[in-house]
Amino acid sequence: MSRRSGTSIEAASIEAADPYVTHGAGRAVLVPAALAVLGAAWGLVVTGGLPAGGVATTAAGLGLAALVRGATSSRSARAWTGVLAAGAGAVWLPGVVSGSGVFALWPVLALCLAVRQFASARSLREVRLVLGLSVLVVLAAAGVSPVAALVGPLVVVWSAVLVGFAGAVPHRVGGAAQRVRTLRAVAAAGTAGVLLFLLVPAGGGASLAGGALGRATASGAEERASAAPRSGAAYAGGDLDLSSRGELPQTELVSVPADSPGWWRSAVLDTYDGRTWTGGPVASWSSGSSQWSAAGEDGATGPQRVDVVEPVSGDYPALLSAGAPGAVSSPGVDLRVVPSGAAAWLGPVGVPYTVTSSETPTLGSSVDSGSGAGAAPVEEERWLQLPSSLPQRVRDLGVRLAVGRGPVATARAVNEHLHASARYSLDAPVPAAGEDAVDAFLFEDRIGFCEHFASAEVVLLRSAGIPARLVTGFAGGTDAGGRRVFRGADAHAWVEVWVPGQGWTTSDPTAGAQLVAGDRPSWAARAWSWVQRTVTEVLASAVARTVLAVVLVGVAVGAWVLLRAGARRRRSRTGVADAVVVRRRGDGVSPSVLALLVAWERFDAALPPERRRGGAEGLSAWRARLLTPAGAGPLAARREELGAALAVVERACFARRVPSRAELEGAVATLERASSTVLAAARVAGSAGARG
Amino acid sequence: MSHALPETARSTTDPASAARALVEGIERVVRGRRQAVELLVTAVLARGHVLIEDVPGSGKTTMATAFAASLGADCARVQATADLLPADVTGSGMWDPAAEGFRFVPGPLFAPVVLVDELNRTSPRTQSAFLEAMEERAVTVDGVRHRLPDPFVLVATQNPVEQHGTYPLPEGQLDRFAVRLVLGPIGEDVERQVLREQLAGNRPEALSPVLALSDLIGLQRATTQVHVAEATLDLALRLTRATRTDPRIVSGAGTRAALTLVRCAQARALLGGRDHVLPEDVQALVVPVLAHRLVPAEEHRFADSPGTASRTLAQERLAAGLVAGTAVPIHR
Repeated sequence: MSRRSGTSIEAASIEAADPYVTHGAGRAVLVPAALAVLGAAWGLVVTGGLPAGGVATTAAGLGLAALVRGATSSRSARAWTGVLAAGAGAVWLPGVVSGSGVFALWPVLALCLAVRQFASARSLREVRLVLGLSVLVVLAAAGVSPVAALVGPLVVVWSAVLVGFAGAVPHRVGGAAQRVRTLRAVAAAGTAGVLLFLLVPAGGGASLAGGALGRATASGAEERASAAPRSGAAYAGGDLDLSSRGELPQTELVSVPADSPGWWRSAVLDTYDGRTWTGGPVASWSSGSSQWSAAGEDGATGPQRVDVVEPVSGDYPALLSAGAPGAVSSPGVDLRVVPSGAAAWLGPVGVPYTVTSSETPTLGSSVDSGSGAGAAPVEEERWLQLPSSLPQRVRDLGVRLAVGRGPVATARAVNEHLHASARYSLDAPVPAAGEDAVDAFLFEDRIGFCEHFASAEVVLLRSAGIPARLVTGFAGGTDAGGRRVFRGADAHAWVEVWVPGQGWTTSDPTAGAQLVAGDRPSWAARAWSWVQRTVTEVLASAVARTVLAVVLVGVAVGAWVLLRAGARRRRSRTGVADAVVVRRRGDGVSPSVLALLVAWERFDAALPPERRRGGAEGLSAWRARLLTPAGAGPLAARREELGAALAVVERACFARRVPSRAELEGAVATLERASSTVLAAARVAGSAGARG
Repeated sequence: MSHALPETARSTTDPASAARALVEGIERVVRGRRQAVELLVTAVLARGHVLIEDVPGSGKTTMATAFAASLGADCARVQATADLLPADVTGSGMWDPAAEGFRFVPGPLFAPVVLVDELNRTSPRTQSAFLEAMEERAVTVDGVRHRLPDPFVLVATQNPVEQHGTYPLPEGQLDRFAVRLVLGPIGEDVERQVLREQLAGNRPEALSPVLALSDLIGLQRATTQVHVAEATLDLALRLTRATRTDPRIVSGAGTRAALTLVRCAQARALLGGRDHVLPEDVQALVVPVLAHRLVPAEEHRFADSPGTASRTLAQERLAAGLVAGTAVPIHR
């Protein structure tokens, strides 16, 4: 409030009578601020920057601060409360440092500072600092690890911050003009951001952001760029990477007898590291006179059967067996069996061979306790391996599903749980780097294909102390002329669980899983996936990015011109709008009028001193002095508009009826533009003066 | 005594243009004194009375007469002298042989427009008779109260130069005048035009009326309807109160002065074609409305100029200083 007046007494009384000192922080601002801080804490927890208790301590600190705020206005009490609340957050600091290093400290410190600031904030400026700190914290969390779970915290923090900032600007009053201004600012900022994004070559951040955002959708087109493509080799004894995605070829690979069991095994995988399955041999192969025979496979006690496997195309190297392989031979060919990872590869590739297997029982079959299998497999530790990084909630789930159940019942319970909670899709989201694939499948995405269902079952069973293993090979297939043909796409992964007295037993959790949306993805999913592919392609080429940026600038400029023209038309139309009768409630003044007075004060303050309104100068006199054709200076172009706006100010103060809301808001906009003009001119003049 | 509106007069519904027509009507004779004429009309619209202070022969009476003629109203003219008695002004009871009783014969005060020349030459007793009539709009003769006509405008003149044989009006009585006009000199060209017109027989009494008296009442009513915002009232109040706190002023303006200031501001706004008062209206009226109510401290009078002229000058300077020193509140 800079008003010059005749005497200092006058100035003081003006200050005292100033009806719009609104810098105090009210509930409309404090609630969003608290939400923002809470959301930031949640974001830190989600990304592992803070233990889960951090949300609780933050909430407790905020609650305490809010209580003290309501109870007392003493500044020191609030400050001490803030220190106390921040201290509650600080108990996590040692753990954070030991867990992720010193640099992980600052987001937590910022969070504590935000809580402390929230407790002692008195003015809107201090609340704005709280909001800013929340944004910083959540940005730090996103920078540390952009996981899908951050979407929730991000939405909470950003909406709270938007609402908070909208309310944390003094003298700001809602209204159409205000909304239009906000929209305009957001649109401008968004356009500028997209332009920067288009014109600045992307580093690694884009793929990170893409990963985090893409994972929020149940579609993986974009991150499949970062996910390894699936290969048939993974199902032929290679490592099984749970993050690989993509269709397998429809190439016909091998054919087996049509009356053979449904599952044809190529490899057994034992070791899971949170993302990848690897395995070693389960049997040792030795060359006999006419055949290679396997020995040492544990629990392979089912009935023997002999099948002829005929390669259809010559590129499937691994030995397939309808259960545990016992022997393999190929008449007239010098066949070799080479152990390769978890499988046995045949050489030469592409010759028909006869394989002897002992059938593996399935969960459905009755337990055959006379088969001679022991209570536990020989290498029990091998089949109970779990990565140390496995989240506790996975282990807990496994234990919970096994309570009071035997291995078979547990396997069934696990299958039921998976069918109830997860759906099948080859287009499953990819877990972020450092995230446990099974944990993500079970608790976050709940979408996966055979690998994930099977991995989840193995991990859950092992968590419950039941030996289990992942088996890869083929299942399904197409019957043709007494043979069943396996294509590349028929590659499959399933589970074998150890049943005491029966040995390894097949359990296929994928069978009976719900598809995400029928066989074909819905049109919306397809469209979304197309959009993502297109965006990826556009972003991949510098020329396309530049063209897009130019188009965007064109669109923005065009929209701005159109909007301006529309606003001018509206202004000319609403020149004779109905005035609003003000009902005076005590000394209540309509917010629109306050906004106008503030805009006018600011305009007055922006002027050079000799052109400001004198203390004893009425608005008409001032307007006449200010807007003389010769002396308008930088405002010359806006003389008429500004004169009309000042007339509105005058009417708002002195007329019987307050001008219509449209008029008030138009005048506010005009005055703000005029302030900017004056200030810009002053800056130019200032810099010119500095140069001169 | 008919106050019927002649057919030549125009009747208009818009108060602002009617008020301006009145101003222009007076200006047909009174040249080069636009501001003074506007102030006169302003005071009349605010139901106030006017004191015109200037040297003889400067058109004081012409202005009052032209005003009355523009209204088509009778203008009673009283030349105030030392031996003028209250009864000469108010009227008195006369013996009516037919009715065998006293009959009240109204004096010159019972005209809608009364021009009192050289008010300061009459005795305080008669002055007070005038002043009672001004404030009460009624006179009491022989214990009977007689209402004065409505509208009732009293225009008094006084000569500031001659002090010999005058009874200066005390401040309490000056307070009854809404506005004091100090005409001041006119330019040479304007004076030549006035001479030509007067020689050609352009007499103020011969002016055709532009407004009926009933229209004037309507205008006065419309004036009271002009909106006064809180901020405007604040300004009027501050200005009036500033006269009481200013160390250069021995006694300032009272509440009546503040009320008159706001009422005149309403009239000025109406004359300007507005339905609300602006701070500029109040500021413009501070000198004519407040100056004659101020008693400047001894050291602030101009002893070198004769008579009341020095006092007038000091008052007007002080009042003008108040305007510059009082902040205009801008709020709803």
